[in-house]
Amino acid sequence: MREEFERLYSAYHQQLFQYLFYLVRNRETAEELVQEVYIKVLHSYETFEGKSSEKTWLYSIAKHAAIDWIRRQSRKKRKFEGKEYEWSEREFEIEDKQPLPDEIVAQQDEIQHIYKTMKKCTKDQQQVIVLRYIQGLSIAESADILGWSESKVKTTQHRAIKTLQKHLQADGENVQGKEGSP
Amino acid sequence: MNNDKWSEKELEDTLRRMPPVKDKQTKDELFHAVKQRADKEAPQRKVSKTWFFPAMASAAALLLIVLMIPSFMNTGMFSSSDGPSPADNGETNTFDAADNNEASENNNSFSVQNNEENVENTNTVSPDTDGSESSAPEEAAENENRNSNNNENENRNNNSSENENRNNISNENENQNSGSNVNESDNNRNNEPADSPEEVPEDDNYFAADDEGYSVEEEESLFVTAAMLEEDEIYYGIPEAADGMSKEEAVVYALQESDPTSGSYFEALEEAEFNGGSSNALTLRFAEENQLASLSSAEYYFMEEVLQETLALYQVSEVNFEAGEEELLVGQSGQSEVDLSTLNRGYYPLSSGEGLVSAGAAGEPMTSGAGDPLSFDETLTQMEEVNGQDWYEPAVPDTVEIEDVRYEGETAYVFYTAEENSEESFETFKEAVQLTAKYFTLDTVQLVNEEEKEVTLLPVQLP
Repeated sequence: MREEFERLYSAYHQQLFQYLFYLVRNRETAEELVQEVYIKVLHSYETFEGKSSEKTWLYSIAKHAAIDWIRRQSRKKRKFEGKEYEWSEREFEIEDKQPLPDEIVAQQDEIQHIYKTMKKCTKDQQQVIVLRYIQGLSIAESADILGWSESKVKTTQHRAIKTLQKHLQADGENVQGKEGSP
Repeated sequence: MNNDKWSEKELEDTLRRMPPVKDKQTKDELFHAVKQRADKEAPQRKVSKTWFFPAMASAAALLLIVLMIPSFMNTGMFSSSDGPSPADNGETNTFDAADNNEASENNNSFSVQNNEENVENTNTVSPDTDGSESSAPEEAAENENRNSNNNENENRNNNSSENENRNNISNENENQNSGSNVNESDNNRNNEPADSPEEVPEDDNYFAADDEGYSVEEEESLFVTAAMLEEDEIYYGIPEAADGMSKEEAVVYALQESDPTSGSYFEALEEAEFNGGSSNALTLRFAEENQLASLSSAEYYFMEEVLQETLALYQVSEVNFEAGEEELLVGQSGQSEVDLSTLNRGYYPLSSGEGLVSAGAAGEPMTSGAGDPLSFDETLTQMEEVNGQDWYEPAVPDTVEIEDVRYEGETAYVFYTAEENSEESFETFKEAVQLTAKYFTLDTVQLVNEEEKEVTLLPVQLP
């Protein structure tokens, strides 16, 4: 077990952690989820059939772990609020009140702004942004990880950029409006 | 940077500059935590119900016996003279493999029968069809089918033969790797009938026109032109009746109608040629004077989308560009070849009524939980609902209920019931089913309404 763990850790750990971090937007949660990923991986490593690459397999497990966590949070939140939100709707209706992570706070305003705005994209769009831009994976790799066609990755990527543009523009107009008002 | 003026490029560059975030746990800490959690979870798994699997196995064995006993009984029961045997009536169209294939090949496998004809044997060539068009491929298919139906030769002219024949289609298809139009979905579809064999009641005449006869309506074969939803920049298909067009003619027409270029550059498209082969390549030949090299990156992207939506339904996985017998380099990156995905599972009508969006473009599920592409019947089930979107709708209207899907050769029979006053949505349903079927190795889909005794023939492939 230790041997496999060490090998996977040195090959993929920081990438996987970064992927999870940008999806769940919280360091502690990403730490917990990455542990969960290793538990699943090490338990099922012997049954890994090699149909996909090891990297794709690890990412797929991480993706499911993150999505499960997001859904659990969404259910908790709905229960708490007594409202029947779909988890995808939540993104637009509930503001992100979490403080920005240190790594982001240390960056320029524009990066902070984009990080905040990413939250307004759908979960699919966020996945594609993280994989394609932040992690620099190819369209084919992203498609394998997400279980989508390459065409869907391209379309979602295109829509993600449009969504970001739209929200950034709207934010810019709001700021100008506030500055202009007496 | 002014936040309200982000260009795509600036946005993409900034995203690429997002900071790397590193895990602060050390390797040892992490391993320790993983091991601790794994150890905690392990006992829970060991406390699994030890009786569960033996109990399930016993239940499965019992179920198997229950399923097998009636079929043994049937074998003995149907040697009666309920229906005319081939020897009794040479003109009777028996439900044997040969006739079955012949009927399929002629695309007229459902015709109204009169009282004298055997009710099971509806797979006849309709009167207006030239039955002499038998060809070598038909014979090959016939042989394959015979091989796969060895076990039922004795019973081929009774009711149960239909069921057995259907169940054996899976075997037949497994052997049909050399069949026409092989695509990604083959294995999936071939497995499906075997996955869900259904017992056919003795008096249940599937595919059968009874004494009063069925009304049969044959629809036009369809192809699609592509158009873009401006807001989302997603391409959808507008079904067009082929009206006697060949595949090649339909391709040229569809691409010129769907031309995504600012200068109508596809007007220079002169010819399309299907090259066949394992890659199912298609060559598009343009006039020597053309502007395709000057496509902007956005135009190139839209062109790829148009090619995907209009050509993948012919199972084209590779498009080559030529001009003056030389390869034509398209767009700023100078590509002479575009790869397409031939996987699509389903079509959904746009809420605006403008056309149908493919499952691939809409992002609807196209694979099962195990990651295999959906079979044709699973796809139809999937098309009954949509994934929380409001810009497109389920392809199966509320007024239509699909009862069963059966396969016979390269024909799929979709048994359905429909409420009245559903004509408009039923038209869209037919279009969606026909377009969906193009991604499978199907020649014909027959929509069978047993209550109303109506059959709609949907020819899937263009000549």
